[in-house]
Amino acid sequence: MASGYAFKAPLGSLMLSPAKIQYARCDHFVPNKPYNLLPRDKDFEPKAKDRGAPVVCALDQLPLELLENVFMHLDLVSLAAARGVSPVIREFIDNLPVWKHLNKHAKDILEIIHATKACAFITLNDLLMELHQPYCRNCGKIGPFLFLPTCSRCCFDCLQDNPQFTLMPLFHAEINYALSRQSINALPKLRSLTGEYDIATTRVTWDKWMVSYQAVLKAATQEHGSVAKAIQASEVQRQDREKAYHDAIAKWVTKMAERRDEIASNYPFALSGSPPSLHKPRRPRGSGVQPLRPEDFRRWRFMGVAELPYYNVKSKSVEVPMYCFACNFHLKPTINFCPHLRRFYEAFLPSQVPGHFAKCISAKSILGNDNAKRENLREAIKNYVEYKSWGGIPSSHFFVTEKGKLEDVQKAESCSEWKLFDKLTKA
Amino acid sequence: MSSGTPSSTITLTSSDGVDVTVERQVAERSVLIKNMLEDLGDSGEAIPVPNVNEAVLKKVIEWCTHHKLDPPSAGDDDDSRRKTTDIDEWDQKFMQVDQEMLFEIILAANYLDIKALLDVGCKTVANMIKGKSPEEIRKTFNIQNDFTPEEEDQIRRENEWAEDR
Repeated sequence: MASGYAFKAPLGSLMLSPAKIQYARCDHFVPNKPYNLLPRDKDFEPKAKDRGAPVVCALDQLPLELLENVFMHLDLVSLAAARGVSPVIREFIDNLPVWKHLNKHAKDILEIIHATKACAFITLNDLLMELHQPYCRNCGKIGPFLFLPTCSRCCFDCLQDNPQFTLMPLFHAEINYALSRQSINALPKLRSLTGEYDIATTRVTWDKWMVSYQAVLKAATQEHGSVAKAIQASEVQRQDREKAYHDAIAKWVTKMAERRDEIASNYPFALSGSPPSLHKPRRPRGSGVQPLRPEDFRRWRFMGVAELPYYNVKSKSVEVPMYCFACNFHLKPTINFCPHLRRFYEAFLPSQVPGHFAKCISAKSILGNDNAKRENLREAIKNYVEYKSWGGIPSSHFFVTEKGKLEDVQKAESCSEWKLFDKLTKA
Repeated sequence: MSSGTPSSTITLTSSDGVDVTVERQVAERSVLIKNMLEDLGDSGEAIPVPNVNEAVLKKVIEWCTHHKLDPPSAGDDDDSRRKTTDIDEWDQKFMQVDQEMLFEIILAANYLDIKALLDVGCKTVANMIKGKSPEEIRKTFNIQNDFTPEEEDQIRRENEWAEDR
């Protein structure tokens, strides 16, 4: 256990965030209001009228806590439909305790799920499970983010290049893997929100369906037997489309030639455009879609991810993951993901930070007396001051004591590490 | 592991007085019975299960027998528990019973404290609701429509956001 510096970096600007919702097409959405399934009309209170038993139905056999369990397994859209079944069920769903819990601790994510229309497949149960556990589903380290298409937690490392957390537009998936309408409809999909992603290097202006890459591969395997076969099939489809297009063009040309005189007399200006009955065939759907390149995935990578706090059930408090200051200190100014910079993006829970400091090589090297090290450090600090950490994303710094308590940086300035930092930045 | 031989069996008595003999390992899928055996020791006497009738008990035992080798779930704060929105194939077939039986199984699983079976049951009911309109849900569960037409209109307006998906 050791003390040291850590910081929290709000990375919402990199990925999906409440700020991007204002551009989303959902009129009913009221920012800063507690999220219920929908804004309820206060005056509208359908009462159990002159009926004795509230609901006389099969569902009545289940005690309320089991009925709650059933509703927890419903996606939010089906839940909305269930509200319309009867006044009693409507009351019951609107008063589920989980709403209050989610509104208090994960309101942002609810809004994002709503705006991206991920609510068609995310269930309350999935969401709650991810809120209550802090680990990345792929590597088991602390994962501060939620990958929406599979509703699973992920960490920054895995987000960079792990296929499990890769996203692609539905249209590209359909064309490049020759997916049928049926398997497309079965894929969990979410709407892209317009805005800037990935330190403003990706500007999204389009509003399209996005799907998880893994889900696409799975669907392609199911439909064609293997991914390679799916790609082959898409190639065949592409050629067929092109051929059909060229045939149609050839037909059009002969038709035009046949009716040349008629056209010339009826439509004197036909040279600048074809007459209505002889429109030129359009290019086939999907002909603009290029085969996928790895860098394409890089472009889309943050469009299905949002920050998710961790709710510790035992201590009943929200814990925001933080990053080791020393580790990220060496970081070059961009978030340009080099494999050798891997560990710099590792997040820790406040209680884990002192343990990390005890064995952190970077923290030790900052405190070391080696001259060469210090020279490197000076260079790193120059970069750091210029760009701040994480490519210019503002972050708040903390001093973390050996017991994992957070303290203001100002208070802890007597710490040798900070003095050194101060001296070097002024020099 | 427990001192008893692994092949030992115990007897359960259903609510309608029928004795059913099961392997101990199978019966221990139920946390209730497991705790009972731990507390009372294996006296060889039949254990009464007062809330569950024979047909349902047999069905539950069928499920427990198929799942007897599953790793036991480690409670609510189990991180490794991977959420699965879909139910595995055998369970799906197992749950193809009439509604009454389905609800009885869920109630029995709740009473006997078999979390995995309870989850499967609740998911099955959830799947019966999934993707349906309010009218279809009413039909599925034989629910009376208690809304007046105006109220229904209002609900429809409230739910408009969910429609373009």
